[in-house]
Amino acid sequence: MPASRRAPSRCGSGDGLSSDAHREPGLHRAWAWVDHLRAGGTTPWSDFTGSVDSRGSLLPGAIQLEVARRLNLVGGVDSAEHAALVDRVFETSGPGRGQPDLELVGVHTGSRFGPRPVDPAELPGDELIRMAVGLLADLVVAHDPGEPVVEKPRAALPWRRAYSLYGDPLAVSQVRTTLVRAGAAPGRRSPVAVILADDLAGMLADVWSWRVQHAVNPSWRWWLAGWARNDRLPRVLDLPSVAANQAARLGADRVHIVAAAHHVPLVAGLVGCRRPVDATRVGLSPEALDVVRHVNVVLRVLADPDRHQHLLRDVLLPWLADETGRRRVVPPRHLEWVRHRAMRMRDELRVAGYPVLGDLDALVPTDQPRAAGPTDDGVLDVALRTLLKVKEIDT
Amino acid sequence: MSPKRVILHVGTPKTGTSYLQDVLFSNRDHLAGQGVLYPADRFDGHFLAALDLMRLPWGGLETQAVGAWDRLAAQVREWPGTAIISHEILATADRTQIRRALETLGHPDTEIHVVLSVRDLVRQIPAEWQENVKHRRTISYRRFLAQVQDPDRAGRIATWFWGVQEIPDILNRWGAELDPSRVHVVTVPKPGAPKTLLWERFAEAFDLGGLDLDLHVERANPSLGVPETALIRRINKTSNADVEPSAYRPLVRELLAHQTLSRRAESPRLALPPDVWAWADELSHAWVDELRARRYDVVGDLDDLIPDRNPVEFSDPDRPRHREVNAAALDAIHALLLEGARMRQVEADLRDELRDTQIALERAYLRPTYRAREKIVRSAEDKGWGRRMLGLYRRVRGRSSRPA
Repeated sequence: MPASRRAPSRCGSGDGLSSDAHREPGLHRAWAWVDHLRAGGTTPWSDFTGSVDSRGSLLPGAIQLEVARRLNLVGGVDSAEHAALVDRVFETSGPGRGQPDLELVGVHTGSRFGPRPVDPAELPGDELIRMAVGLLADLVVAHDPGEPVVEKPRAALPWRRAYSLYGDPLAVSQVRTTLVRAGAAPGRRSPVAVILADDLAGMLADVWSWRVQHAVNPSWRWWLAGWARNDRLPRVLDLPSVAANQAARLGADRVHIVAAAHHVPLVAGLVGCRRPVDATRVGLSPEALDVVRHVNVVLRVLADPDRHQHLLRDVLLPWLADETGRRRVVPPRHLEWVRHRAMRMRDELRVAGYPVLGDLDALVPTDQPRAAGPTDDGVLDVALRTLLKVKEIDT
Repeated sequence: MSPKRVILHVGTPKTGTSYLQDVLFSNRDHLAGQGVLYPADRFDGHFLAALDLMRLPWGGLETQAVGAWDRLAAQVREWPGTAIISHEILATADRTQIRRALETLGHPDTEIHVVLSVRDLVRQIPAEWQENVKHRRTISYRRFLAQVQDPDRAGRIATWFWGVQEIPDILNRWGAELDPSRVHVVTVPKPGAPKTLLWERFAEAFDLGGLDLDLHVERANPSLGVPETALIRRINKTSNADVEPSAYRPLVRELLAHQTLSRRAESPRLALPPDVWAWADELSHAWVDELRARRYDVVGDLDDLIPDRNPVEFSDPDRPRHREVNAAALDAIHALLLEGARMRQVEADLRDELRDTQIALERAYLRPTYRAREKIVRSAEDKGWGRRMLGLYRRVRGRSSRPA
């Protein structure tokens, strides 16, 4: 962080202030802090001592000001582009329910009513996230590239194997994309159904992640608790049913279960793809998924469902592409239920006698390391990094 | 023809807003003839616009709100006379949202008036808790009161409550860019006042005094008594996890709360405990002093905001009398049984219709002409020239009949 950005600003003539500065020193200090933040400054309000001429009592709210300071901590610079982004933060309304316009402690703007003035550094993280995500949602809508060009599907080649993929939706998406890129799109010869399975705890986390990336916004814990309470699995993870349906269509010997953490090489072999394929598993970090969840809440009011999905797929998710990380972990209180369902699934698949690549025991989660969920600070940082990335894109 | 102006009624909740909106909606054609526009396709048609303006999630309804404010503002801008917008949740808008609202309505070139209808805190606080309960919350009355009284206003409940109820702050936000003469405060009369008095005040504030309007509308947001509110809260506690919002709204809020339990008018009414009453009384006096100094146009009397010296006897909804709750629960079961029976009848009727449709469809499939056509299409789809002919036929016919 450049030293100059920590220094409080002071400007004006003489002691730098007009005569009413002495009557309303808080207001002059606040406007100086606004200028400091526009210039990429990171000094907290409580440490700030600058002063400039007042520009009226309608200051940006304390939440907006603190979001700007946190933005600067992540990557603030003294430039016109950055000042424009900070101005957008100042002008943003927090979407949904939350704290209203809050005034800075130590600044008297003339009203005895309304919420108490606050020290911005003490604001709760969820309020900062709400504000940052509100601006992010605005930028997502503003960067709508328009309707995507729909590519005409290529004709299936008669000599290639026909295959369809089921199971863990994130794995299905990744395997399908990887195989098509490697030139192994489904053909027409001797069709097979391939069911991608992994440990059930991980697959549940993937289904939740998939749904969040498709405009749904329940929290991980709430979503999982609902399935556990009803002792049901998402339909896409009811693998015995999925397999039975495909067996009725193709015959049981053409339904292959691939039970492993790295599906791609096994499936590539199964469908006759000889080129090397990238088996790296990529998924959004829990913090990034929380940002998507929060943006979903705002986009539901800003865009109809089709456009919402289009904005996620073509704007927000590409911006978050670098925010990768581990899967969410099943909380201890649901782990026994997940294990029980996984063992039942493993036994049903085993009895049905489908060809298996890997080991069906891989479906049963082992003892998971206890991992804390995403923190407010972590989620806010992702949102702020994304705002800065958008600034870079725009310039 | 009335002059070009916009009247923006921004709250507060529980001040007769549903009644006002229903009168405006029911008389909208007559009003339009007099140059007054109430641009809504249902009585609370501005609710979605308010959600859109404030980007407010509302149990899934927000998905219907996309672009609603801009559409409403466009209608208002095009109208040459007076246009009225009314929704009570607008009270909670922040300064940025208010600036956008005023600009899209034509400010500063258009004459814009803001109307705020207000009622004393001693009645508003219990009413807001009841609204929370009718919106699936399970918070006890005591905890609700503690959150409302907390000076930090940290939680969502306190934030919302003061956002829609702190009269001087709402007027600060909405009136910041307007001359005080264009900010109108309509006070709800004290209990026992003539029933028409509130409407007369609305009519004066909205400049509708000379118009012959049908005031006999059914719409109201009826209140519940102590045992009825306690019952709904218990229902929320046991059913929230399993009942989807889309089912809760018609079954609990509408059927049970509004249509059934609100009719139990003999139950004790919600009130404030004495210690909270004293706090609300002091705050109300401070508000009234502030409002008097601001030179707004007051329709009614600011003393209406001072709590009645003879408060309603407090009956604790966190410890209601079991016998009264049981009686309310029996009424609720009765209503749900009737609704269940009605829905079973609807289901049986639909089943009959479905069976008749299936029989008709099977008959159509068995006709020799259908079977011959089906054979031709199947045979054509197997051959390249056949597929091309079918494609040509479908293009000429103007729509795709290909299977999904």
